[in-house]
Amino acid sequence: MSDEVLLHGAVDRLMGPYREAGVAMPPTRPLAQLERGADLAGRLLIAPPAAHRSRGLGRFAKAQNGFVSGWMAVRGARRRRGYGRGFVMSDHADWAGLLQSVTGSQAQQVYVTHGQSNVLARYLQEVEGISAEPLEGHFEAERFDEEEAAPASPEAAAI
Amino acid sequence: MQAFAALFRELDGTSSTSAKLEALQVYFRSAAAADAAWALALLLGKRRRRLITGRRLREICLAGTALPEWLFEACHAQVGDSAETVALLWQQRADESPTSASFNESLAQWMDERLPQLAALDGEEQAEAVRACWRSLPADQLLLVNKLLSGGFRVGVSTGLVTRALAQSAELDEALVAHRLMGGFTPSAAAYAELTAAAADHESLSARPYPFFLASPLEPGQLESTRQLMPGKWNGSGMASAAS
Repeated sequence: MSDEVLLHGAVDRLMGPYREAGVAMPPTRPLAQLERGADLAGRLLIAPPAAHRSRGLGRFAKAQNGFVSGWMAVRGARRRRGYGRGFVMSDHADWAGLLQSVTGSQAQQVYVTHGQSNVLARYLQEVEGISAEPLEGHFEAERFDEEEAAPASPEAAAI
Repeated sequence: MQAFAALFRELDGTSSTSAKLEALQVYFRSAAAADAAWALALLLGKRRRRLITGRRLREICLAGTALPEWLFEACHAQVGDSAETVALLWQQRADESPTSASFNESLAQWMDERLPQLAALDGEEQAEAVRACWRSLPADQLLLVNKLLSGGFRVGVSTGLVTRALAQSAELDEALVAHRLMGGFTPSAAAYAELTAAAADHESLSARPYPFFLASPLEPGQLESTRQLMPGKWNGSGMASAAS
């Protein structure tokens, strides 16, 4: 397995700012620099969700794909989209983290938005005893199936 | 059970038929006969008995985690399956990490003993026993056990693929194994041994169905060497022919 990580163009564009900010990154190479028909066995390619089943990646016949997202904890979310492996890692706060932030902030009134806001608000009200209400209309509610491949999404498909 | 959980993970995590075939063969070659028998019955969907309902599993989970029922409903709406929702929520609970009490029980022990025992209990006794069982399991086996308890175990392999994998791992003709599987299969070590035993004389022949061909034109020369049984229909569409 090579240490060098291959990157889809959309992901490669993020490398400059990360390196400039002093974030330690492994060696990477944009996919476009690879010759056509290069052997990718044992290599890791990071691509955005939009690249799944795209023509550009279709030429790597033996590629196995996986998807990195908190949603991968749910079997159906992975299988409906036809991903092979799911890597459970979220770029969002998880349930325990959200509750910890809320209680840690000692806020008396909490407004909840983005995602399952009704559920969290109700939980805060009924279980934690903190006054909370959903703040509708500012952000779209988010569901995995509706998250259809925003190109800038930080969740990545590894191929 | 660990080996079967690993097989489930392999099968579930790929869409490649050859990778599935390989994973099945590796399992059938290495598993003990009693376990392989159960795995086979489960993969073929021949044993889908509901031992404890999804609703009951949910009750047991809720009582053990102090989560409100509406929160379970909200999670279930995302996950779509009670057995899996229970497995995910149970792991979220804050108390102790899994103990390593019963990792080593085989699939056959689970299917023949542990799960029926859980199903035979009632009330609080059953709830306690199920929770003790959950506590002893790592995440992937927890999901599997819940699926087996609720009768909802399914994985993306066809009967044909499982038959082929079994035949190849036992070095038998695929048609022979398919023939032996006809009329049901009771998961036991003896039944599995019978299934994978070397072919007896002529058994292979009787396992092979008569070849079936789509209609195709017949050359005049072929007609002479064949005693024909023909219905009186000459418009070219219907004709049966049997070689003597």
